[in-house]
Amino acid sequence: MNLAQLLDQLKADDRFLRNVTRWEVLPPRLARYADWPESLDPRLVEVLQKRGIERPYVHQAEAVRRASARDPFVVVTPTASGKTLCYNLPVLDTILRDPQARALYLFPTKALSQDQMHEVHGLISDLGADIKTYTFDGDTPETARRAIRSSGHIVITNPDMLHQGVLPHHTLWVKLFENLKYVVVDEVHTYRGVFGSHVANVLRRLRRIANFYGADPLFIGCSATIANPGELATELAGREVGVIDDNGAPQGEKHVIFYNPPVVNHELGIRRSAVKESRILAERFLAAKSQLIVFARSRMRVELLLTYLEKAGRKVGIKKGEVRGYRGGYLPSERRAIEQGLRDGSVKAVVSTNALELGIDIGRLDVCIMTGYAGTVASSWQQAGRAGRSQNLSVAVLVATSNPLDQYVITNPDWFFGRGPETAAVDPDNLMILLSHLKCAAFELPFDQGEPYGERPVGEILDYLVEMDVLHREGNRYHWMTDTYPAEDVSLRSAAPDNVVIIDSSQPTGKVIGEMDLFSSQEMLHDEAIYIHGARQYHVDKLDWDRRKAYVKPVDVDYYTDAQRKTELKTLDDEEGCDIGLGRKGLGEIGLISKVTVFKKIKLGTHENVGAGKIHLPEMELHTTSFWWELPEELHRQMSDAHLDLGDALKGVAHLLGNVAPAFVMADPADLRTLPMVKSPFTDRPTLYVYDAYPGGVGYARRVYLQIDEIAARALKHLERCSCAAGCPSCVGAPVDSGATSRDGARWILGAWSEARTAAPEADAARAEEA
Amino acid sequence: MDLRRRLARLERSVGTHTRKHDETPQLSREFPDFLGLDKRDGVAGPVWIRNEVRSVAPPAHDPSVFCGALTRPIPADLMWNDVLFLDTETTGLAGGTGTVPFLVGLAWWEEDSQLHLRQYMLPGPGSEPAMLAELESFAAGFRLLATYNGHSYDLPLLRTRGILARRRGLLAAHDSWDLLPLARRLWGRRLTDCRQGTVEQHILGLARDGEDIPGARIPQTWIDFVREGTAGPLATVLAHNAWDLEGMAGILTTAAAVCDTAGKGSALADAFCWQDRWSLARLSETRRDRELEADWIRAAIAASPLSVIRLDERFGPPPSFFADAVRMLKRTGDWDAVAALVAGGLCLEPASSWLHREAAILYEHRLPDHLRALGHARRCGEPSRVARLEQRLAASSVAPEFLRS
Repeated sequence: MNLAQLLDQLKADDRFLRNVTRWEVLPPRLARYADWPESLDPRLVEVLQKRGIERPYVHQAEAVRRASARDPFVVVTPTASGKTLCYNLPVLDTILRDPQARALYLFPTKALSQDQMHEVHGLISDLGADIKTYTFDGDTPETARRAIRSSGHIVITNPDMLHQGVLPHHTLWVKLFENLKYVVVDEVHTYRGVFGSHVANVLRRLRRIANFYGADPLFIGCSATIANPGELATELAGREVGVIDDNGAPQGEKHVIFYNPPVVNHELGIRRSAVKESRILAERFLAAKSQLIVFARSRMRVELLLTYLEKAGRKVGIKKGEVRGYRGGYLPSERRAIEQGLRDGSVKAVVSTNALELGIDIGRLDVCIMTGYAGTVASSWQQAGRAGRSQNLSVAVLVATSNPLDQYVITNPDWFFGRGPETAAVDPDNLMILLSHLKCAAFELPFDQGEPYGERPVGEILDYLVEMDVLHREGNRYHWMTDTYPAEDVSLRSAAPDNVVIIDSSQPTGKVIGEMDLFSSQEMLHDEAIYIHGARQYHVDKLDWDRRKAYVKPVDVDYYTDAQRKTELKTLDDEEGCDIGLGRKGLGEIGLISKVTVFKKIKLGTHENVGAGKIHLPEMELHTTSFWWELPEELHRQMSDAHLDLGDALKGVAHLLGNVAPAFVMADPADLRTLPMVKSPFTDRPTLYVYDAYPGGVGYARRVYLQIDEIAARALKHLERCSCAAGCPSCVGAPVDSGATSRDGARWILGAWSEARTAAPEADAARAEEA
Repeated sequence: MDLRRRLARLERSVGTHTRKHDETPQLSREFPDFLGLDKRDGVAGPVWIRNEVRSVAPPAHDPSVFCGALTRPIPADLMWNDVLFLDTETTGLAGGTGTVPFLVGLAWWEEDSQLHLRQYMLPGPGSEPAMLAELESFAAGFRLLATYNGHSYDLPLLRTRGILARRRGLLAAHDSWDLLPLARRLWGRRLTDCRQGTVEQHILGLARDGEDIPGARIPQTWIDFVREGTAGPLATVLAHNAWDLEGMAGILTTAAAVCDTAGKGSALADAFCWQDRWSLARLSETRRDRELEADWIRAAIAASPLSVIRLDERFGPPPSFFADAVRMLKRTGDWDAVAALVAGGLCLEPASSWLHREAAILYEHRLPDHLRALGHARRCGEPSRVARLEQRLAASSVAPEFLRS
């Protein structure tokens, strides 16, 4: 049976169809080609034709045209549509003409840099040209660095390395900066929120240094589909960037199926596990000889599914190494082998976390199964895009979990299909971030008075840095004047670089089988955990927390372990606050303390609970800035009089603020978190917290504090306009999540606030004073 | 709330606050007279200079005495007064482009055989380009720069600052010697470290008086002057820099004498401890003078305590004295001496596979005793050598029970 026959079978299968909430067929799209642009070096055309690319797709030709007009652009086309040629063509063409020319490529991760390195290298060796391409990152040996600095035509690196390793040492890179013709930024959509705001500033510094050396590089970006790729790229590039989204690549017919596992307990509304359902579906696709990718939301689910699929694969003659897992924690060499296997077809199925959502080249597969909603529309389409051959049929199936958001999406498919992908926001002028990078920039080159940096004048901030004894002003110049290296203190990402090494102590030499970040290791590598790696079970004998080592031994048991994390909130410093009509608003420092306390042993297959244990590991702490809205105590009584539940109402308002506030403060939704508390231990009253999801905070909570009037007003308007009956993810959250009365309750609270505010003009006065 | 208050709050909330003070100096400072700095018109603007002469004589030997001891070639016909010593004091050791060399000290020998010192100091960062221009023009009168750790620190920093001041290739045309690797070669086997102060104290027998400022405090001294005008402590920085220059000249002279002795053979060995004799054997090896190499290594072995045989096998053949001694003795062809040394080593480290390999090679090829060689070969885990030796022994009809391991 092949894939088409299997689809026919499924269409006729009533038991299957009963659980399908939507079966969308995207029609095939034919390839649209253009002629090779006249300007392109004939050697390039010849090499590409030898590779079977007779003519370019329309978007590729357009990219070459804009590059030769020195017109910055961002390419937004699906995975595997030949996006990389959109920058490799103009870059190689330029270097062929001018061997002095240089290009800098930025990828968000080292793995992607390596991947791209191989691709460009292949093209160059076919060309037989003397064009040198190097990756430059933390792993580059000291001995190779000199050659890369002086002779690399194309230097492939990541924003973190550019920030800490290249820009502060720009005098060693004179050759590169003087001749810099292109800055290529791939995976533009990943540069959003706090990370994106940092990266925009790193690019501002890059431009400033390039200008010092007399260069004005052209910006080229590539992005997955988001609502505003041009806007995002413009923010990053610091100048108007045009969009190329007229995709000329062909696409076979594609089926997108929404599958909701059947209810097994009607009283409790419990559905069959998404993991189990994905496994059954995957088995059917494997039997139809389709190459398959299964996405799972956690590392543990990846390993579980992998274990199941290996077994299922054996039944249809698929060998063990042909089904693989892919997630953080695998060694880089292991990952490279899997990627290669997917490209050449020797790997038939892969189970992955969202690690494979990024543009790592694994070719295109026949089928994608998403075990659980990816969280955003954009991510879902990106995962679904992993399946899709240029000619043949492909299938993407979303299998919903019982999670309320999943249930909302799966039962309201119109919401998903009718909605565009999310907007990505950055705020390069976020004061905290701007300040950090101004220090780095001043270290790299003295600032002249009135010198532009980004959009806003920075004179006042430079003066502030003079007052703070960081800079020194002499005449019209600001000089760096401390004995520190500022880039060292600024991390572009929040994640701590520390990790735990996993050692198989059954091997005489203690073989390292993987590594894991600290946070996850507490949940997956605690003492007595069953750690699954590459579908093999290991018992964790000891997690040596101080030395960051976990000692494991292979075992064969019929259960897995699942650890529970508990989170608490503490107010550390109450900075300021004032009355806002209904209750008070406050701002201060909070500590979120989370601790892994117990784990359960769960039987494989049946998922029964067969035991438990305690975990003794240190707490993980996040200190950050938080806004809070402390509501009056009598709200309890007033709301129960109105037959509303205060807890539901707070959850509803929190969800609304979580949806509305990021747009006001230019944050990515993931940068701001909310926490409703019916009785906060600090205020002793119903309180709603909105805090920065970054250690130390980056100023978003402060902006929420300053703009809460506008934000709350917008939230109320948004709620009133939402067409749902009892709540949806776009407003107060799905009813199963926020509670049945959350919509009415949230409406009640915001309405009461609005009335109180109109009645109390002094709140406006206070607001005016603050603005 | 105004921007400054918000910035201060923000910084406070993440704990990166910095000291605040009110004064904002706009123009560069004036140096007080007691520092002895004179303002002069330089080639590209004003510079501040302090001159001094010290009675330090140049080495008695010709520069060619350093042959084999330096990482860079020795220019032909080099005279001692072609050499310009250079040492900078900077605003930090962090590296990168933002570090300012606020004091550049130079020293050279003139015809009077005295050491002449010249120090350029900046009253503020804005005067740096003029100083760099002046430095380039003054250094043009010399053929070679001598520094201590300058290949890693002072020269790259000046080159970086040159680029920022649009003066590319600053000092790049000069030959240069770094005295740090030289000191390491000559004395690194004896001293715990080869910082300039350590070499001065233990090799030259010089101790800086208690007035010397610790290097870590130097950056802030100048930063405080620029910000607040406190000039007093700058005197100690100038003195420190002058010490560094004079110390460098002293190290060069002493090193020349040692290199000269190396060429004269171990008749003078009594003046050296075993580690220094080992260093001179290595120097002779670099000079490819086999006779002196053998001479010095034998002198070193004679003086070395047995406990120096420390073999750390994890890193392959040990880069130790013992390894050097075995290698150099092998070159002399004195196989009995090699055998004695290896046997001595095996007494101390019976499990060393490196020593067993040396012994196996020795008894297979040089002092043929295949049975003995086989014993050692088995203990160093070389299956091909074991097989070969077994074959040979079998062919020479050795009783089979001897062949069993």
